[in-house]
Amino acid sequence: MKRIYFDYNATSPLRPEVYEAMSVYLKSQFGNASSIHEEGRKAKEGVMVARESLAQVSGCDPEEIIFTSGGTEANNLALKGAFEYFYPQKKKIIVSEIEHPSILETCDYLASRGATLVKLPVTKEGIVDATLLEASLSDDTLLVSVQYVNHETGVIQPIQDMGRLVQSKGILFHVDAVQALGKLPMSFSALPVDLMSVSSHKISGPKGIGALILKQGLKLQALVHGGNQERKRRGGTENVAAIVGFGKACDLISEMGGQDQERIEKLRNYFEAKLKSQFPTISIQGESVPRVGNTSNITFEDITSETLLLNLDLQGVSASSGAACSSGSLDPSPVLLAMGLSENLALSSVRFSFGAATCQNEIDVALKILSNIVERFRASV
Amino acid sequence: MKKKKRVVAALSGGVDSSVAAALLKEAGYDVIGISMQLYDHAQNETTRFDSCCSLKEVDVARRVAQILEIPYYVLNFEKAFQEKVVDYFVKEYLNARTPNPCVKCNSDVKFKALIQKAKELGADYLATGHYVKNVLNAKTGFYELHKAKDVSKDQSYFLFDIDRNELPYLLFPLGDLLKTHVRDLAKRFGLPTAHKPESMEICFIPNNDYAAFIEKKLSSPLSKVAGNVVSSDGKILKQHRGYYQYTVGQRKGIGLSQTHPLYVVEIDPNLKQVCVGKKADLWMRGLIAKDINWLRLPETQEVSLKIRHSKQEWQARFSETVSWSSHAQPIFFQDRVAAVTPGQAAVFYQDDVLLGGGWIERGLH
Repeated sequence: MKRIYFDYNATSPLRPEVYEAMSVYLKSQFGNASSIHEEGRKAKEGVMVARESLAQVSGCDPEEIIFTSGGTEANNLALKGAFEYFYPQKKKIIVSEIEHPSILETCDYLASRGATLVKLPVTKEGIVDATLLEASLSDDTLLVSVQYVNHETGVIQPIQDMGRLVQSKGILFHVDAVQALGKLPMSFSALPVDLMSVSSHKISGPKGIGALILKQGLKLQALVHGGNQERKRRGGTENVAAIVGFGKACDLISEMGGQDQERIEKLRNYFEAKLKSQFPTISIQGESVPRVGNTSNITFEDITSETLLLNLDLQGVSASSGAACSSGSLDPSPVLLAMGLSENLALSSVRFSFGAATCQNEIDVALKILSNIVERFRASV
Repeated sequence: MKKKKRVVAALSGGVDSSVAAALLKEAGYDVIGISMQLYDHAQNETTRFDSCCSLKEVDVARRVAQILEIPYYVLNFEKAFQEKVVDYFVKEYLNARTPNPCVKCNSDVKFKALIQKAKELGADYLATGHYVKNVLNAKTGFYELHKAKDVSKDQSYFLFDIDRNELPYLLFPLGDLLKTHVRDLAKRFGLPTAHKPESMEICFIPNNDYAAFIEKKLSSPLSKVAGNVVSSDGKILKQHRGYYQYTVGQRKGIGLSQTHPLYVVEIDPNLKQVCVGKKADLWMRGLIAKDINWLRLPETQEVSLKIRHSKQEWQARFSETVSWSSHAQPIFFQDRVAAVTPGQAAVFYQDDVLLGGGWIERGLH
């Protein structure tokens, strides 16, 4: 059965060009980037070129990049690194209720180490309430962390406004841009942002690599000690092949210059229009506010997302819903709950996220499968 | 091409359910493996232990599904399990009755909530690794449950309470197999469960210590459940810490030395009193069964009766002709029987046919 993959916000398939670029460093260029010899120099070159590629696509200086094992480590490094550096002079951390678990659970951990925590609510469209932000800022505020794009709804957060406000008080502003890279044009140097997390496997690069981008001159406490890599800010031998793959995925984004995003957005809009005409009772989360073009979060009301997702999977369509818990079962999405949905509605919402390989035919086939499932289910109850 | 019949195979991580799934796959069914997440041990307990449905079991079940190359899902039934099984279990002990959570889990979770899910996935059948046969009676046109070929493994006792309307949806691939053969099959299929030991514990009770489990669930202080152990003539023999620690018919662990062996003969939850006596005090002439579920009506009033999960059956007789609507019935043993335990299941058979059963309300002297 040919699979239809609509879960790009979870992870995306590796591009062939990325695989080719990586395979050189897995097969022949095996060197340690810190070594002084030829093999080491070649590896170092791979890392440096990739650093430039990421700098290019995210609009930062190559020196501002710290490669990490992924978005989760980048978020951990931003929060824990800043906390350990500035605590106890400053101890308040402000985040939103709809952040990724790598932010929220890290905050809970830091709260147990003495941080005071503020979680900003969101509107029913899923936008962080910036009016409450100003009231929460205080002299002891260490850092504000807000995501660029929400992972479940695709809603774009007003980070320009928030960033200006936060920075005007001399407070650090961190942005989790894992779901934004590749979907929105971005320029770290032009944004009022001090730290920004990105991840490779959301942009058709390999898993296990990401980065924290850190404003020139800003100091953090390192999390991983033991080596001079990443200018002593992240020890451990560089994952050269993964870094090279990440760089190649960035190059592909730069080359396409947003064309593919426009194509994907048209397909997403077609998908939603068709669904609405077939099933008038559905609602689309974040529909009335700015969203990235690849994400569609649909609430079906009368069918649980579990039933939908399993039936879709059995018929070859991959989609997802709220975070899967340790036992694999589906919990209601904390993002949708924060947007004011009831537990039942949150448990009947499905996220479709499209990407590079998505085409018109896939959308049409998936729509047919989806309507068969919904109609069969409605007929059976 | 004829469309394959789709089966949801419940996978527990044990040898039986994995062989059942393997047999169905081999027979050409479109098999979907599902494990039921029933109880979050991590949230309730810190001690490590292995029993059915813990995360480790889920990993084994997932491995089995990978080997069989079937889709596999873990579905969460914690809420239904808590309400229908765990809450019932605690409540029954506090009512001085001895519950049977496995029966409830089958009738209210597995063969209700899971069967519903299976239907939502477009499955034609739900299959489990129970040792029991599901037989179409050509005469009546209805399905009925028969005891398993492997008499020592027969699990029909635990299935008396399932809805007979669901029988056409159920497959029990192990009903005609011996356990030793099932282990051989697990080896032949290359399943990691081939050498797994039997699990005999109640899956949500850590270390087999049900009293400790109930104490954790108690909303009131322990003093509310402590009371006296008394003799048949009302003499106080000792104090106990909680009457739920005792079961009618129990001999071991009473902690009294007398010239003749002592048995728990009655527990009064209102007085928090445990009454002990001689074995003769336990002899019953019959019992009252309530909330009876029928899978097939008996042909005569004479039936074989099981009052606990064991091979032991007693000849017994309903005092009147029963019908589908007989939900509470007295039933009398041919000879007197000891240790009729309130809360346990009374299950009726004729030959190998499971007729149905009910919950023991009390014994009849």
